[in-house]
Amino acid sequence: MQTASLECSGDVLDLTAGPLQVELSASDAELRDAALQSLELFGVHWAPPYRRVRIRLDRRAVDKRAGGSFLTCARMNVDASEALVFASTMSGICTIGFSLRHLDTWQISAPWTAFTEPVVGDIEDLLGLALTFGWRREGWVPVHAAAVEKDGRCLILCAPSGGGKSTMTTALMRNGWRTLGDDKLLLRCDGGTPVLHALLATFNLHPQTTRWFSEIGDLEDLQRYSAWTDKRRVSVDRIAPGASAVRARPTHLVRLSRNPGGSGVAVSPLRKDELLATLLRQIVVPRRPEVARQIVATAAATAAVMTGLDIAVGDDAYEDSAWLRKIEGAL
Amino acid sequence: MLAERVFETSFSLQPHVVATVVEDGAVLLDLETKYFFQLNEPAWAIVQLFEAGGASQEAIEETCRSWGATDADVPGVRALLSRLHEEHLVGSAESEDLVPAPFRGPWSTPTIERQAEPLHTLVTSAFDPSIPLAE
Repeated sequence: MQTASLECSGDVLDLTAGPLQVELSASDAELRDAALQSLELFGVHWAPPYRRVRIRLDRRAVDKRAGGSFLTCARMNVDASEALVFASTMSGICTIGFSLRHLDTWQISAPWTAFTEPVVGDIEDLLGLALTFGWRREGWVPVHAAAVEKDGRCLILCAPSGGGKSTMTTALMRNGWRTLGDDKLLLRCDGGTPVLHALLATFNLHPQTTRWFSEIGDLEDLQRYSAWTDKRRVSVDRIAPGASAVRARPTHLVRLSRNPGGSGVAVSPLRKDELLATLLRQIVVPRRPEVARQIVATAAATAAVMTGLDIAVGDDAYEDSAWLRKIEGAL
Repeated sequence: MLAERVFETSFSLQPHVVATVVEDGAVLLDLETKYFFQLNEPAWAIVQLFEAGGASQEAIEETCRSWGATDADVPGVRALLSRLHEEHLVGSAESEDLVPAPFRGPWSTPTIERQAEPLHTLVTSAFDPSIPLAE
């Protein structure tokens, strides 16, 4: 897979994040490095043209706090009008963003504070906010799901965080499937046809996963990707060399669930109305109607052309490849 | 036949409700509660009458008759209007401005079904709609 480029011109770093060209600048190296840590993950190459997003980070205490009328997150509130976005985090970092036709501009202001985990995570949240606005303005809907493709079939694997998306994806890759990612995807309808696009060339895997997939090697030595999880960031090539896919047309939606104490996998059809509900549960839908309308319309058009499956995964499902063949047989 | 007036005001879809057409009707998403609702085709045709304007109960029932509804179907139409009202999906319209809606039929009882679980109102991040984990 071709990876995204990073260029430095003076004090401005140029990098890409999907269909966005990000011009990043910061008032000091610590801020710049914290931002780079998040943005460099979007390593999947997209062909131009790009939408320009200018992000500037500086040190400034801002007293104002957002109320969350647009979006309420764990550590971040977001208010938005048609032209302006304002967001603040629990650590006091704020951002203000506005858009012109082909350019988004974001100013992120952080008080002088220790760069401990929540602060770094808050900067990641604000950068993620800036990117999601840019992606949506280009017609893409961010989807928090995994996806795999093989022989013209493309599965979107849906589950909450920690619900087994990465593990199922890894298992399917062992059976010759290629992946578009285990966590962050972009979805758009081109002339009524839904298209999925990859963003990240890394997986977030729990070290226990290697119990079933020894070929990945020991993950314990890798750094945790955040303080809130045991998961480690692993490149797709380390899991299965050459098993990356960039773009695919989704054909199946899989609602994954764990079946603790159960054995193997249980596969059943997913009702059409549950299919749309399942897909929407993987997407952040802000409270602003015009934004929500685009998201729900894209999800509905995608759900209309997909077949749904409910898959409950037992404790021993990954110990015998026969269970995976059962899933493939149900497609 | 004169319609019995049950609702005193005209209906209007609330601005915080987003409608999307699906294969066999439409989905309404309430952006305040994050509940979403599945409407069949007759229910969606009725909602379109006041999606962009206001419509009285009488005008709605009259339009339903033009689509093939009979007197026996009127309670079903009123049940839909009551449900929309109870779920705060509709409010009172300032004026009556019924928007003609296409409905090819055949007529059947309008239905509305609320999904058991709403989308999360508190999410992890701008990308991750999961319920945030405790820190």
